Amino acid sequence: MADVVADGDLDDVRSAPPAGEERRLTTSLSTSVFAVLIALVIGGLILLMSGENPLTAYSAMVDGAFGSNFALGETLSRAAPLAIVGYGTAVALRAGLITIGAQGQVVAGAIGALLTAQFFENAPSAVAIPAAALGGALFGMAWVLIPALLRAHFNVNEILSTLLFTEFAALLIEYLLNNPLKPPTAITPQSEPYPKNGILGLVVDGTRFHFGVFAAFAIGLAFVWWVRSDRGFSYDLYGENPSLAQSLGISGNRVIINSLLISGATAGLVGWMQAAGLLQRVYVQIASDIGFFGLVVAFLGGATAGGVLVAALLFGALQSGGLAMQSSEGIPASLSDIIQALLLLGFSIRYAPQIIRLTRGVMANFTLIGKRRA
Amino acid sequence: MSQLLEATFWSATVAGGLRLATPLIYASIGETFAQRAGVLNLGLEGYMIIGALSSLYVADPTSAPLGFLMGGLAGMALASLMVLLSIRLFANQVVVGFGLTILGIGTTGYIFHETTDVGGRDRQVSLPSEIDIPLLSDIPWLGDAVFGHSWYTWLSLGLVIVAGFVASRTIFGLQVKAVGEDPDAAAAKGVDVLRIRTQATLISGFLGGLGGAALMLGSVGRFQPYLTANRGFIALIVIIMASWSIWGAAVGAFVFGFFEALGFNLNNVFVDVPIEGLNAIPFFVALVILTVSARWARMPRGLGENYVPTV
Repeated sequence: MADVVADGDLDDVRSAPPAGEERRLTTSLSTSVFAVLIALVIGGLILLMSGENPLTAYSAMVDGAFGSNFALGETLSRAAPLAIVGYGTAVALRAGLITIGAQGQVVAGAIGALLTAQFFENAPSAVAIPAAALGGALFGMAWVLIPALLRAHFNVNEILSTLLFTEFAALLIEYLLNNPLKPPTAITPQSEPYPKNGILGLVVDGTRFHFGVFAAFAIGLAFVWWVRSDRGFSYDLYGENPSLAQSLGISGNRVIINSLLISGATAGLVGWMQAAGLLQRVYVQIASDIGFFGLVVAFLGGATAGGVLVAALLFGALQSGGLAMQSSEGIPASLSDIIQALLLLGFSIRYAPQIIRLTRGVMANFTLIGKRRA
Repeated sequence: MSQLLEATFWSATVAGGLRLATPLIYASIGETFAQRAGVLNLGLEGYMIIGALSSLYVADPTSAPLGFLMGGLAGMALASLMVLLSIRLFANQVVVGFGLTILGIGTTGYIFHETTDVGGRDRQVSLPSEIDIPLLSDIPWLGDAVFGHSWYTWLSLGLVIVAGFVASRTIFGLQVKAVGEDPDAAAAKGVDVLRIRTQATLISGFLGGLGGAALMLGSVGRFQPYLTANRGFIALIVIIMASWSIWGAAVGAFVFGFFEALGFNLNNVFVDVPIEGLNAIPFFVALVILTVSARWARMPRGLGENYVPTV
């Protein structure tokens, strides 16, 4: 196998000398810090142009993200779902697939978790909690099954098909929360309170830091294991060079279907976490923007274990800080969206090696419809 | 049920479909130019929403045509970031596209909240009246269905003709195709690949912005965050279905608009069916179209790949 690999451009990716690896790390660290600074400076200019004081705004953001136990809890409980979706999306990205359907899979997972928890309403928590987590993951998986099959067998672009399934999920949850799952007394669409025996308790009282957050670390460890496993390596290989992987006997269809199913399962797990931990009820907006930003986190982190974690914490802090800034200073929380977008754009240029390496794989597999013109 | 047999039901659905398709026609024609040139604009959603907000903020104090133009320019301004980052600095088109979509949503949300006082007056425009074509709009059935629309719709249909001509009958159109199919060969023939791709991307930004403006000024009238509701991505599906033809894109946009209108109108016929199920019809049709067209459509060979000049 070694001589085959040496022909492609894989050798410089897989067996780069440690010295080069080290230099790459420092470059990527300094470009990362630089990109963050640029994004904050542009955000500051936007604040100045709209007549706000950037220092007030940023200090309110920092305060809202790290300033108290409550703030830290908000940051962590926002970062954890982003990290989990990020890891799942990263598995797909490494195999050369871009899925933005996590949004709908989170919704499906929340519905699945709620239904499972209601089924186990009288069971001990030790049964009800894992069962609901599994239910969420399975629903998330089911929600990506058709796009995965379409991508594998008909080359239907996964960005667009998963997006359509997000629309279906949005309509489904709207229907369920307005009709069968809605408590008779409720005015706005929502579910019954989440069954008590399935609720994830708080780690620190007076915050929203719940035990579900620790799932992010478990998923992170599982991701590290996956990347180092033989199967994970073969999926990476497929992402880097599909034709080489197939000539080595790796089934492309299996890689496509399995990696998308894994991403669906993690997103479904997030749906469970939000329903059982953070909100303790299911709402129409339960996925907020987690699915979309989870993909961004995976991109920014270069689909690596550490990178995704750092990016998720950064985005979690920006989002909780932005909301706190909105309520204390009256400056729109959309500022955090702008800063997050600028971060992604700043990282996208070629000087960020971790994204170059990743996107080369994505482009090797990229298809909008299957076949290019001959 | 008997309503389904009435001509007025179908003429209203066709008319509604054309109205709903109008923003998609602008956006998908622009995107077709960019994709024919090899540039995948996933930021289309961002161009549309920024065009929608800008058009409203200009049209509110001045006039609708001025606002409409401003929408196009705002979309073009966002597309110029695509030019800078992807075409000139060779950043991955997919990543930049997502970034621009989030930037568009974030910026419009920020501006909207920053300029809207609670309890104050919302910026809004009154919706345009229908322009009836004399004689033609008096034709029974057909007149109701096709010949009574606002000028945004008439302009979009005019655009289809002009864009179809430009794409297939002018030097520029052929150059666009050449740099999208085989940039190396085009460059060898003396075509400035980066310049053509830049122009095509700016066109798509302008038309994407016009699409957002047509949505705002032609059928919504006031802004709300996430106004465009993934229409930019629907436009991408429309283009695939059309196999990158301008005429096909217009037809595809109408097909999506038609089924969207059908979903709304069926709600009055099948009152027992949940409205959410009927609203899923256009997306279901889009999924079927996406699947079926994957078997015949051929995407431009150079689509999605950056061209790095070898000098």
